Amino acid sequence: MTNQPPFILVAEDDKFYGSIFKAKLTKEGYEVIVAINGEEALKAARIKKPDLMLCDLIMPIKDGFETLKELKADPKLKDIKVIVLSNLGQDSDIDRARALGAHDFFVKTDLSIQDVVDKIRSNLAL
Amino acid sequence: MQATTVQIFILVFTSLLVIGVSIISYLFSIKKDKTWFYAYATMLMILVQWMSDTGSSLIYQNYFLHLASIILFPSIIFSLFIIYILQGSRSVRQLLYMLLIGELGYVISVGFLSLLGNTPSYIQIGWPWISNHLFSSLAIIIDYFFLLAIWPIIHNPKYKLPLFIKVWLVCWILLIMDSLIFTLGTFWDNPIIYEIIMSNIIIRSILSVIITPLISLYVQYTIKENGDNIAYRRWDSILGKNEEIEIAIQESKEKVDKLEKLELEMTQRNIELENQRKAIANILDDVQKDKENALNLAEELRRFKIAAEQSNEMIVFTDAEGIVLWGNKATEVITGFTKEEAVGKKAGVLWGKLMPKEWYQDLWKTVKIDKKIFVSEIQNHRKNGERFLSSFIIYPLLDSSNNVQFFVATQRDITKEKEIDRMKTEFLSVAAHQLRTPLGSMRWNIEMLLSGDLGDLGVLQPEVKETISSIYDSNRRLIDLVNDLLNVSRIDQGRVSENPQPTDINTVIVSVLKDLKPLTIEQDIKLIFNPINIPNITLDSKHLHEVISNLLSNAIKYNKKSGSVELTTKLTDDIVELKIIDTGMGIPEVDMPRLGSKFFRAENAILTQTEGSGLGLFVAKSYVEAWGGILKIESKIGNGTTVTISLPLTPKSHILDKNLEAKPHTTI
Repeated sequence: MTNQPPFILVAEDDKFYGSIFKAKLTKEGYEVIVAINGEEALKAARIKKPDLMLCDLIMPIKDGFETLKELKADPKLKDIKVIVLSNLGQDSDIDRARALGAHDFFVKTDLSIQDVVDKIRSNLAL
Repeated sequence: MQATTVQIFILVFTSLLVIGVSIISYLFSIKKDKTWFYAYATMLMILVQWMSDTGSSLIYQNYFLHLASIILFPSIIFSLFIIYILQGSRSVRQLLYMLLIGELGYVISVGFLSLLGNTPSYIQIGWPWISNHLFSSLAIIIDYFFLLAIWPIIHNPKYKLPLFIKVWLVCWILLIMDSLIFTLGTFWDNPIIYEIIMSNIIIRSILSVIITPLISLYVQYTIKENGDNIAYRRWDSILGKNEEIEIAIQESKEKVDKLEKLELEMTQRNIELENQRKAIANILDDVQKDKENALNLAEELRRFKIAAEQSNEMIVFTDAEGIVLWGNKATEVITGFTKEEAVGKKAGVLWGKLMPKEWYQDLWKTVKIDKKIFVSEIQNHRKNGERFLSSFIIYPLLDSSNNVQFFVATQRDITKEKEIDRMKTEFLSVAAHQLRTPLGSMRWNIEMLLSGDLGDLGVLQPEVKETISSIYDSNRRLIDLVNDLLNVSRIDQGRVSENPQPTDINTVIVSVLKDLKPLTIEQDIKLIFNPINIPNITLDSKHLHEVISNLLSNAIKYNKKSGSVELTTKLTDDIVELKIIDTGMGIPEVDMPRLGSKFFRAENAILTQTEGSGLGLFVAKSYVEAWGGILKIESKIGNGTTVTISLPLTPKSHILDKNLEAKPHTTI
């Protein structure tokens, strides 16, 4: 996959965030798909397994926690690295997401968009 | 008047008198009423003597009658004398006085008659009459002493004389003595005196032969009647030879002693009784006061009961074992148990038993052993099984000997409060999410705009670029504010979880300095920090980062242009001390007390319009204090501020524990 750009799956219901992720990450050279809820994200992941997944927590139809749970329950998908990017920042949320297998957890407003790119980069490098 | 008639009358009358006196005297002496006896006998003697003398005077120089009066007088005296002694007199001396009074009374009564002019011619004789009586008195006195002398001889048991003989001897000897005395009068050279005295002698001599045997027989008879030898003893006692008297005196003395003792006892007893009376009076007084106090207390209690009854808080009185004695209306409302159902049962069993065992052990130890107030939050259940949370206070009421007598427990149902709290938290997290979402996308959009990610904006006019920058700053400030608000609400609710790890304070400081570098450059602040070796502190590094960041950003923001901020660390014993010294505007003294309270900003900080929410210091202080540390601020207006935080190497952090459904109790 040397020529193949890394595939980033973003689960994000907010269209503004969605477009920012799409624009920024594409510009950074990643292949990006933005799913507008957990259900869609899982579907997309099953079609093409992403190298990394960014996941929001509060989403319609299927929220981030549910999505994480299902993802980690699926033997084919369970090794996908998931970075939770949410605006929920309570410890209980963080703990719950980590318990469900989230690789990292960030509050969106705590990071600049460049920070997000850096986190993705460092996670993919691992 | 015929002499013979008068003679017979006087003789019969006087004889009757003698017999009468004897009988009366005897009866009186039996009754032992001596006073009456003396008085009566004395009066009779005076009367008899006067009558005999008067009789003789009626027929002046009638020798026979004169003799009769002379005979009668001593015979009466002797009769009295003997009867008196035998029937209970204590002393011959008393008899002597009686006889002398009799003689004196006679002299006075005759003297009185002479004043009336009806003077017996007999008296006109003068000296012979007086001398007769003088001799009589003398004879009585001498008889007395003589009797004292001869009685022991006559009565000596050695001679074993019969009583009859004894008495006869006494009388006989006495009469001889009298005759001898009267004989002295014969030396007086006066025919009348001679005549009178001689007649006395003759009469007494006859008397001693005729009368004394009669008296002796009388005495014998009397004794026989009494049946024992009382007479002897009486003679003994009369003549002063009696042990009985001494014994009697001794007995009397003892009796007197006893009486005195008794009197003393009575006096003491009286004093005791008086004291008792006073004590009882005092008690009655106290009882009265107690009654008034009790009435006042009852009134107070009545009012208190009304107040307690109407309280919204549940108030329950229990005995020392926790058995419910009384509960107010709120108890019924909150627990669902009626008073009748609750009273007499254990409160803990009725609506309790939901807390951990240790909690109950702690409660009983505090109130029963330490006898202190116990304050906590408690989960109980209602009659229908529904659970409720209440803020709970229980305190012991002690009796005078400091033993627990009652417990008073108050509970306020805070289930609703807790629900509201929960909703508030939920709201905050949702609100935070909702606020953060647009703020975040705004931030990233501006970042992308500025970095050209959305395409080249060409050469922007500096004003436009500046405007976009200020929008970005405002956006960042809003994000910070939202974060601060979230932090504050979490701290308020104790919902901050600590993840204590060994943390190197120097690393944290360096990280904060790096974060704040842009701000430092912007404000042209010189940062001075020379790290020294400090052991790791066990706490949540994220929170320590926040604390230092908040304090340091304050030091930078409120500094003067081109000022400096110095950070120093120090380790004393197990306390790490971090000082942040700035050269800023300082804090007005009036604002110092409110420093560190939520949303508070000092007057001069607001005036300079430096951005800030007034939450940073509150958050920092909350964390430091939660770790058991101290945050201290020293400042002088215009001279900068020094913030010192002191942290123990092993801070406690349980207050930040999020599992605070029931807060740990406090003991007052």
